[in-house]
Amino acid sequence: MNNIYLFERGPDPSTVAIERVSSVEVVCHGREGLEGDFFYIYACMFTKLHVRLPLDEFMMGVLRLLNVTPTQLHPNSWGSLQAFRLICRALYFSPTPESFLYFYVTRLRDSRSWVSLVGRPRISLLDSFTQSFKKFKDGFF
Amino acid sequence: MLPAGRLLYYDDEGRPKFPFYWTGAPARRDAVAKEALDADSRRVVEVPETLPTRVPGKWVFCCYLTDNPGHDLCGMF
Repeated sequence: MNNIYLFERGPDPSTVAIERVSSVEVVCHGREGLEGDFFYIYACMFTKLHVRLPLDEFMMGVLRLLNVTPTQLHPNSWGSLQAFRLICRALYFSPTPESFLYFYVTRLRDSRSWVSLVGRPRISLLDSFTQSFKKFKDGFF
Repeated sequence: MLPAGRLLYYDDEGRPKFPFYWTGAPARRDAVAKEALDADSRRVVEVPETLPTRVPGKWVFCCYLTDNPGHDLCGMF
């Protein structure tokens, strides 16, 4: 965990404390009686998808509209979200959650599974990733 | 979550800005008409739609690793 870049502008221990998960925790657990709020994040979001803390208003807005916690959105969809951020940056636009989600519809297998975003035919902005993220489920904190 | 994090992750009324825990009711999003978007979102949507090609997602990611991602991304179009 020490070698993973977590923060946008260097270490910022004032907003969140990063903690290793215990061997009995799973991402779909709630607070389970613990004091204080927290959220889980998969390690691959930092190591592969260039997500950095703090989460910005755009990311939080997408999660809010989808009503999901960060680990509930499939990493492939985080990849699409990150790519959209970069495209907007290149075009000098501020991304909005609604503009990103315009290009996608949700695919829900059931309410306990991950939420995936599927590009809409004909107006899809990004070619979808040719492979799905695998083995991401065990690496989180 | 530390005290300073509350400024970032909670709204003015003290509610989390996104679900912190796995929810049992993810929102279903169907296709939305462009006309249903607010003005800012419509402006964002219309510009990428004019780009000549669909962008390979994996290449976009490579741009995150360069010193000037925005510039390098433009070079892909």
